Amino acid sequence: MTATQVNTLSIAEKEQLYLNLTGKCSIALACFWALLTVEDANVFNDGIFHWIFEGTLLVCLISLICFAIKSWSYKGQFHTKAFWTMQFSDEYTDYVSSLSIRLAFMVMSIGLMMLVVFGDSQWFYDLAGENALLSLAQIVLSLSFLLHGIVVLVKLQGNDNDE
Amino acid sequence: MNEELDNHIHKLRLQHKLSQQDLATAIGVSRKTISTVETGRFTPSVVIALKIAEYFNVPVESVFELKKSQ
Repeated sequence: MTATQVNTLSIAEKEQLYLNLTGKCSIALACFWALLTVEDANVFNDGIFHWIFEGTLLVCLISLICFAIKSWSYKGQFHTKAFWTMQFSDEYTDYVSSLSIRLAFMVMSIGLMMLVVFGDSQWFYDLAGENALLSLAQIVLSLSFLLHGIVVLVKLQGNDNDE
Repeated sequence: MNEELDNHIHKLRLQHKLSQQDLATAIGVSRKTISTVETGRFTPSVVIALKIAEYFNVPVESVFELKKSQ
């Protein structure tokens, strides 16, 4: 959608498009982060899988930058508070935003609570190895971003035929 | 006993020959809001309920009603 087409839309439609883009951003960020964690674990050291892996990482990074730039272009198109806090004036968009943030927060809290409780146990280090805390924190973040993105996209892409 | 919100937006739209987009633009919400309210997937606020009723020039009880089911 071009900038001229976006300008002709109502504020409610702009908010919905912006939330959709943030959802895609979240998924790209989650994939990028998860792949970085795998890279740190040195699973694919050489061979064709290494290049496929690096290529996927690059695609995720490019997608993330593209979605971030595209979503940034919505700045000033609607209320600044909505842009930064994801609290939208359109009710359904706000409902989807709240739901996705709530679920992502739950995953993040549960994951980080488990890390706090078991993080300094010896059996935890034996099981997860070196840099376990950092890797698992990255996985928890990836999961919460992924959940945020999936909820946003699923809720905004549902079947709604106009009759 | 469960109470569910039933609505007659689809019927009113057809009577007035309006699309979801027309109604959404008229009351200042997204088409997705109208479609999800219409299909019962999303319960709107009192403000939207009143705006829809005002737009069709009918009492809000004619647009929304609590449906009692066992």
